[in-house]
Amino acid sequence: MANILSILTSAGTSLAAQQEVTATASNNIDNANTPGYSRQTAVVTDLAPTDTVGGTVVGGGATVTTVTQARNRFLEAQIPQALAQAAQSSAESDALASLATFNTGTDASSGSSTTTGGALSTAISSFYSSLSAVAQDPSDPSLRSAAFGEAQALAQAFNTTSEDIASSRSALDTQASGLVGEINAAAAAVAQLNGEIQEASAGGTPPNDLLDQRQTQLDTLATLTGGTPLTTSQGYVNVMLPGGIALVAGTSAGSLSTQPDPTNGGHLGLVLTQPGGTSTIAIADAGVGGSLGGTLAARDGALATAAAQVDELASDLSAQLNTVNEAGYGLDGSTGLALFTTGPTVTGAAGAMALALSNSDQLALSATSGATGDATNAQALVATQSAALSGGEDVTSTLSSITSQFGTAASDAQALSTQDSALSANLQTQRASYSGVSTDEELITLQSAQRAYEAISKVITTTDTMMDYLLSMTNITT
Amino acid sequence: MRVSDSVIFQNATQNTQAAESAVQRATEVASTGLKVQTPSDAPSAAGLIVTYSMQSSRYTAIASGAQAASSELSAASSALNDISTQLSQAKQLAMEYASSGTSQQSAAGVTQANSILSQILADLNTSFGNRYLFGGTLDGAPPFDAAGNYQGNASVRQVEIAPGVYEPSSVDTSTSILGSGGGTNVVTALQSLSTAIASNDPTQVQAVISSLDASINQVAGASAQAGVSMSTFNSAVTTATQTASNYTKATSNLSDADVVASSIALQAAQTALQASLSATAQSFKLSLVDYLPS
Repeated sequence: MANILSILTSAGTSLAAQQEVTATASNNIDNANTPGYSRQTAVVTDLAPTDTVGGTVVGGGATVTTVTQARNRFLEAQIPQALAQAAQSSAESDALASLATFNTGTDASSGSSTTTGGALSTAISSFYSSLSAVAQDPSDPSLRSAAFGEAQALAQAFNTTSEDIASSRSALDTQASGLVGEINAAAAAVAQLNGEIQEASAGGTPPNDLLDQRQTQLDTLATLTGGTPLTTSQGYVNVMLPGGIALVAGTSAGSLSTQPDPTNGGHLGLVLTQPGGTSTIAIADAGVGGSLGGTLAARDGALATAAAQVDELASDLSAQLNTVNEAGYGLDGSTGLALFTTGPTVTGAAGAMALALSNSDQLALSATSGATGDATNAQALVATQSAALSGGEDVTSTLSSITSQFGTAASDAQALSTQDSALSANLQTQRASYSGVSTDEELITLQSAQRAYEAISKVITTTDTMMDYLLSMTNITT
Repeated sequence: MRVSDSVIFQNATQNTQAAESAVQRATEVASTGLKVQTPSDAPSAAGLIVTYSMQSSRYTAIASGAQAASSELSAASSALNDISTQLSQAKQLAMEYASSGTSQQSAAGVTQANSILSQILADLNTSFGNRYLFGGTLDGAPPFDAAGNYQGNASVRQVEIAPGVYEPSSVDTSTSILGSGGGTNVVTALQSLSTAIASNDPTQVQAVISSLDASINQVAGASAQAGVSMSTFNSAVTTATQTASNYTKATSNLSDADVVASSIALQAAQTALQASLSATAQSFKLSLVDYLPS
């Protein structure tokens, strides 16, 4: 038969179990808003029977055998890639959206405000309009001055456009440097947590909070680098970059750094000091994903393409105008003069473009020396607007194509970002649904534990009364 | 689906951000009146806006040049008309002198003939703006000196009336005045008249009349040619202005937002945001904490 003391012992154990349930629920509520926290559950089981009553076993109360985490491995396996893709497309989209040089503008010169292409388009139009005006009266000093001024403005517009694109690319270098610092910190944290988790797991107790912290860092690394976590047989989680190179291996973390790449105009390239060693390896743009990959993709993708196209346009247009200007005669009799200089190479031509003439009299508008009213060469200069450049299209179509291509790249990145963000958000919502804390649930658990605690307390009180009664029968007072 | 606190807050954040983003975009469109502000808004439209706006500028410039050329030709035409009148007076003088020339009439006739010549030379030295209209492409000096010698050249200026298409914008002095290519030199004819009258030789004067007739026809031809060119330039102005306007309209169609549609879109976005905020606030209100005894 069951003895009274065993009832008290069971009740005491059960009280402790309910306290642990309460403590677990309390911890869940405390961490309801902690990023990466997975709700925990105190697993209460009944204790093995110690007594028998009429041949029937009577349980020995309840105890908490373990505290588990609510984690869905299937969801968690999908999240790193989703985070990486969303971060990559978002970084690329944001980077391309920051370039305003090809945005539409407005022109109020005609009295009513009309939409125009970007600043470069307006400058090219104004330059050719001024040439067209002076071609009607090439000896008019005010028209010559206007054309000279518009030529200067055209060179400046190319300079500004080139500078805008270069600034955007340089800003992405700075952003990449900042990201590298965050990546190294997260990689070091994962490596350290790998060690701590293995140590803590040796005792047989799952280190839930450490696991949460590691998961948070893994999410960070996936977001920043596109790194994929791989669990090893030792319980470590290694992180592999998209290029297949390890960033974290066991308790060792690699370290990314940046250094100017002379083959890419001095923009920063990535170098990885591999985990557990001192050897370094250059990482190509495609070797990283996430925010860093998106940043580099924007810098060396659409922005680099736009920069090269604008350089080529500046070089081609200058070459055409120079050929015509060199063949004509200025008002001062000068001939053989180039209109623009663009530097020694096509690369950088837009940034280096400058007016080569010192005054408006040197504009070679005449095809005959001394024929001040001859506009034959001015008309030839105007005609370059319709002449095919090296790409086979005239200046208008070329600029239109550059604008359109950049717009397509930015639009595609934007659409991809929206799509990837939705996918990532959906997976994170599912994870939050599975692993997140519901304060209502926890309050119910608290109420449940409180009720149980009260009932068990009643058992103790009752048992104590029984004990008192028994003892009073034997005149033993307690 | 199990609803945790994180789910509520994540959904609230995402839905509110999406609604606020939609309001922001709708506000931009409604306030600027532009539906294409960046190339990514509509890449192909952005490319076309570049093309259309540059073409619009191109045709505006052509219209402007053609208008200036037309004005210049109008001045040249006036000068030619006056030359034509002067030549008719010269012919009248020659006919009068040829039929009843006297020595008394000779001195007055010479004076009159020289006066006509001076007037015609003045007409031929007409300037418009900063240049002389009958000097070919030599703008810097009067094309005829006091003795009637031509200082200009035989070139004819041209002005663009459509991309790559040019129309003469000045009078061909060498043929219409100087008689190059088998014509009559108007100045020389007048000088001959003066000389014939001065020599009191009606026969010689009679011989000059045919030269004056040819001169009158030549100048009339030049005037007609100027008129044709003026008409061409005026048509070009109309056409180029219309074409520029068409390109501007096409740009506007691509870039401008429909005012009514953008206002409705803004209102719809604001309503959606209000609904999102209201729903979010409601979802925050529901908590067991509020119902448990303290």
